[in-house]
Amino acid sequence: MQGLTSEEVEHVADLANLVLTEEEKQKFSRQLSDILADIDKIGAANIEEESKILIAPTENHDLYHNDETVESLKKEEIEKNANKTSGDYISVPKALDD
Amino acid sequence: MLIPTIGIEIHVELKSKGKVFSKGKNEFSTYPNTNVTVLDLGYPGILPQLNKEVINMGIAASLAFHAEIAKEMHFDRKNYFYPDLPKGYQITQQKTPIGSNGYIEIERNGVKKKIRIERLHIEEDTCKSIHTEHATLLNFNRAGVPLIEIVSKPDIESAEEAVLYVEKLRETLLYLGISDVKIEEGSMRCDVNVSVHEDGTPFGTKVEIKNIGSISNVGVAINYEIKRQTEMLKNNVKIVEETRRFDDKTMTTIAMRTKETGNDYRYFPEPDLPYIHVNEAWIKKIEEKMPIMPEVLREIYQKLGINEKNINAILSNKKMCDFYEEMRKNMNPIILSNLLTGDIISFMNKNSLEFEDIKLEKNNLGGLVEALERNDISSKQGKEILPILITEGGDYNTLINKLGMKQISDADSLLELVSKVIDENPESVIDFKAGKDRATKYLMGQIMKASRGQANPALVNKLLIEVLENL
Amino acid sequence: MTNYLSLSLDEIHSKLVKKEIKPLDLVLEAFDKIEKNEKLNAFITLNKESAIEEAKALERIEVNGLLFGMPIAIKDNIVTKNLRTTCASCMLENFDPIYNATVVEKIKANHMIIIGKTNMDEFAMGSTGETSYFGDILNPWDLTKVPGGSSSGSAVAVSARITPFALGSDTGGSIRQPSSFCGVVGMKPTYGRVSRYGLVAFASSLDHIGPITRTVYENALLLEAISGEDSNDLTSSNKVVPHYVDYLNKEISGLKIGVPNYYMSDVINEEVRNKMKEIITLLESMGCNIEFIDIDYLEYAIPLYQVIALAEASSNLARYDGIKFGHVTSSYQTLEEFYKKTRSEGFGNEVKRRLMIGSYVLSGKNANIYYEKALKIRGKMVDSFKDAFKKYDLLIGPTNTDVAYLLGTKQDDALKSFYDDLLTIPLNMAGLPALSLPIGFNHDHMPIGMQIIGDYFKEETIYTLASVLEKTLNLDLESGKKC
Repeated sequence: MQGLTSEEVEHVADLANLVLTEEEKQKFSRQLSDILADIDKIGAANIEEESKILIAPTENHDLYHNDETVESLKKEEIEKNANKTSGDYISVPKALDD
Repeated sequence: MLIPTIGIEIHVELKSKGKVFSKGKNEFSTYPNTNVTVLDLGYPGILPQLNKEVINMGIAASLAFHAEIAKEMHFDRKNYFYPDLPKGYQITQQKTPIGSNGYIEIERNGVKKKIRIERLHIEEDTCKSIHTEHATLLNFNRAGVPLIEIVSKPDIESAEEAVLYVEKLRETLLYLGISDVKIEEGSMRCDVNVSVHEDGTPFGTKVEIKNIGSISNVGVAINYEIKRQTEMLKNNVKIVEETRRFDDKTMTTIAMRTKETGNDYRYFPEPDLPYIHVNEAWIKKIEEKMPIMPEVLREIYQKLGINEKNINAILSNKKMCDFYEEMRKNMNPIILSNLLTGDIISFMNKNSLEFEDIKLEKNNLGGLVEALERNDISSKQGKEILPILITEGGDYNTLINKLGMKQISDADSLLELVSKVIDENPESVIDFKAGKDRATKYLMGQIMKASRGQANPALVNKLLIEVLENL
Repeated sequence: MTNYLSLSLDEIHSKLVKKEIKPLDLVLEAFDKIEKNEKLNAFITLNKESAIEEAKALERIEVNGLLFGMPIAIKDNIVTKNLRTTCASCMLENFDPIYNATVVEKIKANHMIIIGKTNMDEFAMGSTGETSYFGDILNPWDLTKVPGGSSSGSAVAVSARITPFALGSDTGGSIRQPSSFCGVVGMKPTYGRVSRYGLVAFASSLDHIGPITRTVYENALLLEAISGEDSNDLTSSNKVVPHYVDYLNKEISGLKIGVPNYYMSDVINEEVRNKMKEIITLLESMGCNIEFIDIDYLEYAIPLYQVIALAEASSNLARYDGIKFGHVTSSYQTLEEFYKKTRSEGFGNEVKRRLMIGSYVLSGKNANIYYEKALKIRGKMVDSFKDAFKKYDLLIGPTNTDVAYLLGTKQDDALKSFYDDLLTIPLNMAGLPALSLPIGFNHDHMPIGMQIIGDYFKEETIYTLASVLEKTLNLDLESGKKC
């Protein structure tokens, strides 16, 4: 894998919802390229197409609850760590461009 | 000639008691943020639950739409950032939808057409957002409410077909009793994909339309979009793949802002929920509990001789239809359908009532239908009695007596009345002898009037003819 | 200053039973030791007031178990109601949870006393204890060296005898690696043995909670206390939890033990390898049948981890958006800017790097090229482990490729933290139980750890071998003495 371009770094930062300074872009470009070179081993691995995926190492299956309900959190609990509230709501600052 | 191609994605909120991936209450309509658990808030450290009732409902919907049911399923995460998405991902079924390859049959001008359904899958709803001038306010009651998304194949070719498809889908879910399916209240949401292409060429670029607030606006939005795209092509303007919003003030579609990474949902299997399996026994259990579907009822009603207008009116109201189904076997189904779709619906409309709000006790209505059938009362009298029956309830016969509406069916007293009216109208007798039908009708009217409407009209008619012929 | 916390568990327990000491004495001693060892930077938040209150309340209750009144340190990515839980991140600097993790409820039910929340690599991402927003954590055996990570503070607290017990979490080696670097006993149990409910998720299919303790005995006790099915975690197992201490110091002669060749390769430090060879010889002399074996796909462990762990992390950490909890930026013009600044200010570099990689491997076509293929290779690797356990009771090998190294050595090396976990990651991939046991020291008197790997839900077999080895080796593992 070639080193990532500044645009490619910007794109993955965008996917992760991060913003990087020019300096960070430089640094991360090198580091991400190192990791992606490793990851290419997966791309190159020989494995039968029909092999089953392993999502998590558990043998559990078919676990449900039967439409049970629990009491709601209280207002103070819901809002305890919230950045901003308004009346009974958690509030998100209105984005100026929306 | 440009041909439109239309596909519809419909989200429907399910009516389970609990949410789908938490045990929060599925009661969205109560006060804001009063049905919220740590799971619904997407708190650090939480893990999802799975509500079996939602799977039951997914199976029922799949059966109703003739879809194949997945034997083994897992859930997937759909990753995107939006304030109404608490965890930053939505748990959904990307790889293994519960239902696939189904269809809905619509009928237009007597021609039937199958609209194929690509998939039905289970997912969780997001927060309800309220936009004020300075902020977006989040109501987490809706976060985690179960949804099924039903995705059609692009088999729809006109706005009319689209509306029929949505109506049929809505009717079916209503009958299953798994959703309120109220598009105006958001328990059903339609996103429409529209493209146009020249006959014999590949499909055109599709445009998605969101935010359609009523079934009739599905048709309006599609027609607008077909027209807009047709104009663009005529003027050699390239159509771009985009999402547009229907605006019900201008009845047009408006482009929405799109982000470049907006459609890169980075799906992957949800590791926190183990596999689930649906076997034949489970499907059978759901099948046995399924109500009769409206398309089946329609055929039955047609055979009973109910007119199309009445059938449509009954089928469009699930509660009324349930009532009709229960009652029709014990009385004249035609008279019952006339009462329900005529006087009862106008009473509901006049008083802004839902069917379940009105007091219709079975025996009462039965008594009325029988009386009408036997001609014990006139249909005019029926109209007078019905509102009283609805508002006061009680026994039909008691009510009739109370209102002094009991029919006079005693032949001797009626004969006296008939003779009296004939004596008073000698010219009508002459007319009768001259073969004029009008005379009988006039005399009938006079007799009924003289009895203050209480005379049994059938009996009067019989006696009148007898007397006249023997004169 | 008292020094009860250097006594054996049975001795402390017996003093409590005889009322020679009270839980409060243990609690106060723990806080004294935290103060004395402040430079280790093992704790982020202390639970002093509540701990003292709880200790006093315990005076009114009969001592009803070996864990009664015992101080315990909890890694700061396990949520504790009304006790700040930061994940060592600026993002959660002021996060005050409104519920307890299942393991915390179990700790409380056993009348253990939570002393505080331990420092760690930010969001458990790192293997040196250097990615914490709250500063570096030091190795008590040598203050110039890293303690390992990410459960750095938990391993340090036990190693320095601040608390006899700690909880850690392990996604790629985060319990075993610092345990090995600090000379303590750390267990990553079978996936599903201990509920993950309330563990701030890093990578859901790889995350485990487990005990870090001074001894195998204490480890077995604590694991039993925190294990079991939990309706809040659908991946938790309903298998009966054994009474693990019943399996300690049993006969090991006749045990069939495999040593994966991969675990004894040239990349492993020679001193570590030699120590391991000594152990193999010792075990053979004690009647164990030891064979060198091959496990397939082990060479993919690190790229598998980079794909699977980071993809899951990119999703699990998407909830930090400045709305419901966590850091929020102070100035922004658009919603996009609000998100991006909040997250860029809240997360450190190691976390950012991993989130970007994780997003990348799931993006567009990559989901098939990397992610889905990784899940298939993971399945194959697991099959190979399962085959091995048809033949062997246990697998053994070193915990790490090396002993603890100097602070600041690998700070700009993006790959270092992954390669530190070369020998531990495969067991997270497989979900198999694995324990790190101190087996000696290198020339510099830095601890060397060995990994004992069991079949699914066979933690008791691991404990049998570990307890026998511990007794035979009889090492002095109290790190504080050297400082």
